[in-house]
Amino acid sequence: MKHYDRLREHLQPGYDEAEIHDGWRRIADKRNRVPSGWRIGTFAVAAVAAAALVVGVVIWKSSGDRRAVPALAASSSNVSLEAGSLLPVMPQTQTVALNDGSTLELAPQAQLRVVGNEGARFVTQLQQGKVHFAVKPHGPRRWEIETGLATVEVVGTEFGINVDQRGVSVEVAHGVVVVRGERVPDRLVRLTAGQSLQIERATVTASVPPPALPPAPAEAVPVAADRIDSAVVSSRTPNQRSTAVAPPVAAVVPVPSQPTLAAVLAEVDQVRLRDTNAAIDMLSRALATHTDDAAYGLAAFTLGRLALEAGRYVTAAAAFERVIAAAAPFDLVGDAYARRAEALLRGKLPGVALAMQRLIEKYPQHPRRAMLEALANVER
Amino acid sequence: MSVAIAPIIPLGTRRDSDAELVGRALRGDAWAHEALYRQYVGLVATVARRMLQPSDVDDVVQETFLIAFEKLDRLTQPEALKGWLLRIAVSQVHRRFRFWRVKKWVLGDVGHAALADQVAPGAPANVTAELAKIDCVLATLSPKLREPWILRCIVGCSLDEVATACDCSLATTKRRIREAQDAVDTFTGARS
Repeated sequence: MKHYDRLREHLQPGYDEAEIHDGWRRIADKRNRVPSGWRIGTFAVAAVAAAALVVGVVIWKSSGDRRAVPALAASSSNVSLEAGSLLPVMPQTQTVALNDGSTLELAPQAQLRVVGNEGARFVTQLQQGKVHFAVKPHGPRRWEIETGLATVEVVGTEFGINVDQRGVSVEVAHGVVVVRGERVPDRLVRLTAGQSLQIERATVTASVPPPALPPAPAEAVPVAADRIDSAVVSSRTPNQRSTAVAPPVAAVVPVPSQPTLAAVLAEVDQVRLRDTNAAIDMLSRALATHTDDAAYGLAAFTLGRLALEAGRYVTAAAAFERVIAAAAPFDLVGDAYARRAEALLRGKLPGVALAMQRLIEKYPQHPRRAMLEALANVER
Repeated sequence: MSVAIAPIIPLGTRRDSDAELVGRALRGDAWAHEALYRQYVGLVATVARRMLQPSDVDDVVQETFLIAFEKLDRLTQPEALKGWLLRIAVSQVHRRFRFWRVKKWVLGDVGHAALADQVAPGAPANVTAELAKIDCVLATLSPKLREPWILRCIVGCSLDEVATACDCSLATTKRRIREAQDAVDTFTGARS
């Protein structure tokens, strides 16, 4: 194989920088465009395809009703599974058998509410207590269990969920479940038989050393203490007991829950449509308190983009400097170098020459380089 | 009460994982889409370029990412993104092969990607000569043998990635690569 490694080294790369840039532009254009149909060579082929489409639609429509999946129902008549209904809260363990062969075993005082029961999708909200779900495999519907801290998705398996004051725990007996949520490691964990996930409700603060940023312009947002949510993934195998290790923490005190940067970004996506400056301020504040958030780099890049478009060049330059210092998102670091130089250029701020030098050294083929050099000539 | 604390990752060493980017992309962040594209466009373009004519490469890359972004919500294991993208790319390559078969039937002319034409300027002459020999062998192989061999030997994918991309078992992948390798060795004189 080493022989082929040597051959590979002499082959041209799949795409160069310019092709990567052009490729993304075309993809973005196509994604924004209303689908215009397939590329069809001749009118005859188009007519045949259209006729086939009509026939297909007719067949699909006519078979749709026959294939409709019935909503889930409980075997017992006194348990309603209509959307919005709360399953009876009992002082003792109760088992609810469903018409598809699945069963729910509710521990005493467990509160399980049905959020949606639309045939192909059965959504419940476990508000409190422990419920053991035995979902019949290969069933026609997708099960989702909301717990506030996470969402558990499953097609067919057996697992238990417990919601209490400390948090949420999910234990899988058979099959596979997917747990999604802002506090779940990487926002998504796939649990197989024997594995469990604990998501703790408690939050702690930790003093984190600020990043070694180069001297930032005056508008740069200071870095402050961070909030860390806790989640522990564990397996019943002793050697795989836990993946979370407590690092040295200067001070640990409970603080009120704060939204993650991902949540802030989602909100910013909406706010920036109405008020760019408000979105910039929101992101600046959030970055100051979420320096260890997984979305830190992406948020800083977004802040830089917004600030650059709004003409707040000092903020933009500082934000892109944060992306460079964090080296994340990895694939946007090159753009961060270029856009930082652009912000300094457009704002007539000091450090343009150094910023351009850094860009050219690290990304000599960057597609924005020519534009920046032209802009620099104009500014001169 | 003990409190579990997520490990603190020092700034500068952090890199957004595929899972994080997929999560952001599913929430509608255009920058996450672009980050995913930039992460894997080199690999997808290399796969297309090593297997197809240059005129088809852009189409395959575009279609691969458009399909991937459209079906991203069906990716249940974001950590398997690379293999999933490879599988889409290879399926797009297959589509071109099917078109080639029709073209060959109609026009009697069809050509595969020539590795010798993709040599970087300044490469030794013996490299070009060897790749030209390999091109001759690959032209005689069926796509089932040619694709896994190119993915493994020319693109540099792992065996697992090749198996995922070609949608076959690891054992089948190994067997196909071995068969293709035998043909290459026989023709290029590595085995005489």
